[in-house]
Parts: sequence; C-alpha cells; structure tokens
Amino acid sequence: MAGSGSRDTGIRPPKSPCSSLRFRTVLNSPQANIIKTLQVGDELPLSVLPSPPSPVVATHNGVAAGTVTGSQVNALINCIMSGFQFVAAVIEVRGGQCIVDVHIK
Amino acid sequence: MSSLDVDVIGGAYLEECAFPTRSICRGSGARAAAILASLGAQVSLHSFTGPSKCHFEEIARNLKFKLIARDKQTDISFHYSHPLARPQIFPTSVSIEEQSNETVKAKNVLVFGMIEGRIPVHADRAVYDPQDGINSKHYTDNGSSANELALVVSYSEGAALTGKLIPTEIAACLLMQPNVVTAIVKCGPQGALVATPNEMKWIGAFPSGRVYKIGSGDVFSAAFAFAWLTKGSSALLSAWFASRIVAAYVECGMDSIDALAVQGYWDDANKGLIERTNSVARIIPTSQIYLAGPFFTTAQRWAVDEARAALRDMGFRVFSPVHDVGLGSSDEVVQEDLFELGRSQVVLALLDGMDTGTIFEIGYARANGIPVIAVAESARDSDLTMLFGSGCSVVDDYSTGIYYACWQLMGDV
Repeated sequence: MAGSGSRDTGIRPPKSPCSSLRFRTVLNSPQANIIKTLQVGDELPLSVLPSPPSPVVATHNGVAAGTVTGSQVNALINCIMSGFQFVAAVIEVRGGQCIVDVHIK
Repeated sequence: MSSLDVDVIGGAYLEECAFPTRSICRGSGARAAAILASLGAQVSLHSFTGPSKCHFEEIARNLKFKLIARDKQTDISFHYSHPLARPQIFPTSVSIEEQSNETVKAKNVLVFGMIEGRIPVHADRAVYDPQDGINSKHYTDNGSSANELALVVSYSEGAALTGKLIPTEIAACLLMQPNVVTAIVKCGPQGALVATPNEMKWIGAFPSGRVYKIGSGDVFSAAFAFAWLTKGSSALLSAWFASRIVAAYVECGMDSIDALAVQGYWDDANKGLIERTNSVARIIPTSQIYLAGPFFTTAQRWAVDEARAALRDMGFRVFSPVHDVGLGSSDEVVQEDLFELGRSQVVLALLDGMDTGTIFEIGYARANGIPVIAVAESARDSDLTMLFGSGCSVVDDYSTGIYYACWQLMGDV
C-alpha cells in the first residue's frame, strides 16, 4: 500500500556457505555443437562473465557450452568471485538439453 | 612483525549490481583485504559483521586473510542498478555500533570510513580513505593516530574535509594536518593529484576493455597501501601502481590479482611514472558528447537520465535531445537536434529497442566523421552490421559505454 510500511528489505544473504552450495539445473543458452560432444560425468568449469545479462558460463575445453541461471545463481557468483572453483558436472544430455549438477570442485 | 603485515579497518557489506549481474559479500574492508592478500600481504581485517558473518568468515579463509569481526545486529547492503549508479543502502538508517574501548594498534594500517562508525586505530604508518563523500570525517576525529599518514580522497571528499574547491588547494590543506605526509586527490578524468611536502604531480588512468566501477576506489586505496606500506615505494610510484591495479580490477570486478601478472603491473606503473606523470591536471574538453537514445518508456528515459548524470558528474558537456530541446513535432525539434549533433565531438548511443531515431542519429554522425560509441545490451549481431561496418565502437555494457565516450573525447582511445 502506497505510503505505508517499509521497503527497507536489503539484499538477501546467501542461504548456504560456498563449501556446501550444490544444485541441479539445465544449462541455458546451450551451444548445440558443444552439447553434442558432452559425456555424462564431464565436469565443465564455471566462470563469471563480465558482460550482462547471464553472468555464469560453463565451458568445455575452453569453449562456452551454456550458462547457469536460476535462484541460486547469485550465491554462485559470490562464491566464484570469492575464489571458489565450481563445476557443472554433466548428468544427462537429451538432445539440446543438458542437465548438470553444480558443485564446488 | 614482517613488513608485509597490513591491518585493514573497513566495512564488510553485501553488494548487488543488477547489470552486469553481481552479488557478493564484500564492502571496502573485505575488498581491500582480498586485493592486499592476493598481492602477497599478510592481512588482518577488522570489521563488523551481522547475520552474514559465516559467509565473510568462509571468504576470508579462502582468500587468505584473517577476519577479526565484531558483531552487529543487521547486515548492511548496497544495491546498484549499474556500476555508475548511486547505490541504495539498506537499512536506510544505520545506528552507530557500540564502540568498545578496544582499539587497533598496528604497524601498517589501511583505514576506510565505515557506515557503522570507524574503529579507532593507532599506527606507525596509515593510509586513510574516508569514503563518505560530503560527509567525510578526518582520520583523527575518532581518536585515531599515526606517525605517518597518507590520505586518499575523492575530489568531493577532499572538498568536504578542507572547504577548498581547487585540487591543489585541497591537497595543500590536507598536507598541513598533523603527520600527513601524502595526500592523493582523485579527480576523475583529470587524473589524480599526488601531493607530498616536496611536490605535486598528476597521474592518469589506464584504459581498460570494460569498466566495472563498483569498488574501484577501494582497490586503488588497497594497491596504494600495498606499494607504500609494504614495499616502501614513493607515493607517486605507489599511486601509479594503484592506478594500474584498478585497470586490472575493473575489467571484470575480480578482486584477486593474478600473481603472475603483478610484475607486469609494476612495469606499467614505472612506465607511467616516467612517461605520463604531469605537473598539471588534464583538461576536460569543452566540446560536447551527444547522447542519443529513445525516451519513450520509463526505462528508456531513466537510462538517458542516468547516462547524462554520470557524464555531467565527471565534468563533461552533454547534449541530450530530450533534456536540451525537449519533446515536439519534427518541425520543432529535428533541425536543432541535428545542429547540435553536427557540432558534437562524439556520440554515445543507447540502442534500446533499435529505435529508428537513434539509428538515424548514428548514421548522420558517421556520415559526418563523428565517432560513435553504441551501447547494445541485448541486440542481435545482425542488427549491428551497419554499425560495425561503419566504424562504430559497440559495447554490451552500459557503464563501459559511458567511459568509452569519455575516453574518446579525452583522446585516450
């Protein structure tokens, strides 16, 4: 309601420490030519891109395979930018869709 | 105590930027501690932490600095829409934390102004960055002392602390304070004035591919402190080193400096010292930047407003059609807009939605040999073919585009 209450909410801190941050997700913006070469168990290093809007990219042999998005991505950015190394381990490749398990290396 | 020991006093805050997306547990103190540790210093960070304490502790362990944290009730967080925006700070009113009689005593310290209230320090040598713009406080205001004190201030902080408006007068006034042996006044595109009792010299920036500005001041102070406190470098060389480290930081906002690159940064700093140190400030050209962009939605108008404000804050003249001519029919506004476009030195174009008016202005500028910096945050490459082919500089980051326009006007790129 306008004019009442407080919007003084601030920023939500990460839910879990970097050492225990782990989640499953589907790679966004999958690069078909890279995805088709992936094997279950491959570990794709994650890095923070300097450019907007999708900042976390998963690479395979130095080439972008897709991006990581979702509700945990802010925590992931904090961890990567704080020197923790994370990977997206390939769980399943189904056509152009790649399901990964994001965890600390 | 080794000469590599540095105690940092500063904030540990949550920071978030919308574009480019960043969310990180930092603040001036934690960021400086990270930079100093990555450069090889043995760092102890003295700060306050709230409910996010465990995250800061984990980060400190990973980035290899010691965190000495006093408890506070709430986390303090900063939200930026973009790296040149003024932050929203939460909570909006912060109580000064209960200060114990405990003070920090150390040989080398780097001290930042803190929202919660600064921890008193007694040091042999100190670098102080007051942080708080027009509300800046003097180092000794909370009972702190140092045998040798270096001040690193922005222009607005220096003006607030001294009441002076000319950088050399600000520096001279700061040098008259007890035990101040160096004063650095950062003046944006004009460079930074490095003043000691013997000389006043100007240093410059190193252009970078991208500009993630949030925290760059913290990084400058940290790198300066590393060179001046732990290496015994002169104030001038330390400032050049700090400028080079800032250029590395703003590329992506990572506050761990690659150890393999550090010697190269020292080489660049020494080269800057010899080849680019000036006796006078750089002159900001009086010619104008034409700000092209649509203003037909709230978001579009906001983006134009923000870019204009950022350029004007840095001291540049800006012509913005919506601000300087206003809305009107084609008969009323077009000729005046084009007249001003024709006498502009550079065009900064915001390509939101590939607005036809903006595209026309870009073509008109290129046909008249005027450089164009185009910000295309979400454009398809196929939409940019003519821009690439006609020599426009196209960037995908709003803040970087603003800086590119400045550098173009200053002749740096």
